[in-house]
Amino acid sequence: MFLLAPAPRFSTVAPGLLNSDGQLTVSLPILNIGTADAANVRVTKISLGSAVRRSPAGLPLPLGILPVNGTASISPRFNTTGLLVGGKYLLSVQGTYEANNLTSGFAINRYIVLPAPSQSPVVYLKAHVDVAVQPGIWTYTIFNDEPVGSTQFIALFSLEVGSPFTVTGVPVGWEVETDNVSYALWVASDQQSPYPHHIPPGGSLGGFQIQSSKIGSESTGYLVAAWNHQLDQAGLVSPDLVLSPGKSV
Amino acid sequence: MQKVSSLFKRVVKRPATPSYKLAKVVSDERAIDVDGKSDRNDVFDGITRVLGSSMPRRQALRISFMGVIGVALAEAGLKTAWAAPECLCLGRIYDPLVECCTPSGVQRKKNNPNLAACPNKVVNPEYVCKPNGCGAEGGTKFPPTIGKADFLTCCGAPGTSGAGSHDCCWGKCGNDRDNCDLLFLACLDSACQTAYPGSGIIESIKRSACQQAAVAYYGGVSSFIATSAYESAQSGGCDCCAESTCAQTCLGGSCFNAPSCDNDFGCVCFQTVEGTGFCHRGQPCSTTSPCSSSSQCPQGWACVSVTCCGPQSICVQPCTVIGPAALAFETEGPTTTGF
Repeated sequence: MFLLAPAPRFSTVAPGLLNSDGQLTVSLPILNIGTADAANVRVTKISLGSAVRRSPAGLPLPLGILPVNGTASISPRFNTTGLLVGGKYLLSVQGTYEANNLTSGFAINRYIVLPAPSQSPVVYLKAHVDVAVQPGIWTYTIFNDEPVGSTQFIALFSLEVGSPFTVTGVPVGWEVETDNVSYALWVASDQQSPYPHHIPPGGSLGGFQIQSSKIGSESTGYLVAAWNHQLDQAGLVSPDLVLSPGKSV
Repeated sequence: MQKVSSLFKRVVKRPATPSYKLAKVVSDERAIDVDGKSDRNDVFDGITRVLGSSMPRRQALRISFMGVIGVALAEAGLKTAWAAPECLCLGRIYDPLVECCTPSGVQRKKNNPNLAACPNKVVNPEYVCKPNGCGAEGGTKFPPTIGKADFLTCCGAPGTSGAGSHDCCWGKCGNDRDNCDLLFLACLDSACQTAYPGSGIIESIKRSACQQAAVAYYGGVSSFIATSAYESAQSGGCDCCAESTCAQTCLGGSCFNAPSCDNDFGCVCFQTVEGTGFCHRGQPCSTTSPCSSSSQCPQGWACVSVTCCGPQSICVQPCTVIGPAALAFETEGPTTTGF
């Protein structure tokens, strides 16, 4: 009689697809249909044919523990330039996980058909964050990609961090709130209109910096939020992923 | 064709009694082999019934011998190949331990992403919610905290029971998705207000940015793009059906004496070379091909050794054929079932 050790087994189902604003967002559930929990699940490669990946910009992407019968979702975004509506493209996801004191690899491949463009169910702020990584130092630059004339001015940047860190860079006119373990939140210090230190449409601001004893990076979540200068109230937000000190690397 | 018609009438008129009795005894044997606990007296009761039936005695003894061997193997802690649970569902064999018979056919019991095909879905008794944090179900990954506002508890923190979390709400079989999503929004909004209750402009920017993130997160998870993630979560929390025992089973007979499947006299049960039952609709021997295992046969077909086509093992078609029409009795000559 042969006894097989309990082991995770990865699977997926038809992903959610959104073709909007020249980008394809794929909401891909990853299921553990095996017999053991998978720990320290990390996605190390995501591709869709030859399409340029917009998010996550950097890998690995940690997914944590994926329990038996559990599901984790990833949402990579790709430029649709060069892709045809109705065309069939291979989505490939690779990664690693730990089980039974072993680190193993997994791969998920699935063909998807590019849907026709449609309206996004959520309107996000047009913005992105770049990071320059040196050993132990992560420096972020925020870009406001709203068209000139937009009322959306960036006033806040919140970053998820996986390891203990210290904030070593705060742009002039901004202040920071942090627990030095899991998050840093930078916010413009302006007290009243015209809020001169908010990042205007088409503008950018660098100098958001943290340091950590961890050398490796992994993709973590961030949020950029705008203030609507016309209405003098909260504006749109832009969540995404960016590299920060890794929890497990 | 005239000959075919007359043969078909013979099949219809053929008394079903021997087949029924055989199937019943086989069913008893399987119950023993599957759980290995039944009283062996049941087997010998079954043997007695078979010997008292109108079945050919040689076949009855063969079947009985198989049952005795099965018990012996069960006593030794082994399961016989022909002991695997085999039930019938719309003419197809299925294993009730891992599959369900639904109006649309056989469905996977566990982790079935197509729960819409499972009208009798039930809570998976083995399911335990183990949340895994703030994911990207809505097409966008949100951080688990916005400053000190804790979104993680609302999503479902890893290593916790996740009580009241979105992960566990989605995972509980039968939970209403809209309700889960609204509870999620309320939880996120509350986290923002708790973290930043003040009234200054900086505090207001932090709180309102957090609340905007909450609304955007809710917008994502409640949208169509998150539907596959919701269905995946439900597939873990639900079984396609409850524990069931099959009403109809199938064990292979022999040439001219194969039990019918699902009371369809044109559909009879043969035993595959792997030892499992297979519901087969007779076909001309000339349309078969030799084989040594079912993997060598077309998809959905099986390799059987005892047919009316001679001693060699051959690939035979199922009763329910998906795709091209079943091979009919269009040609002269012997057939797999002898009719």
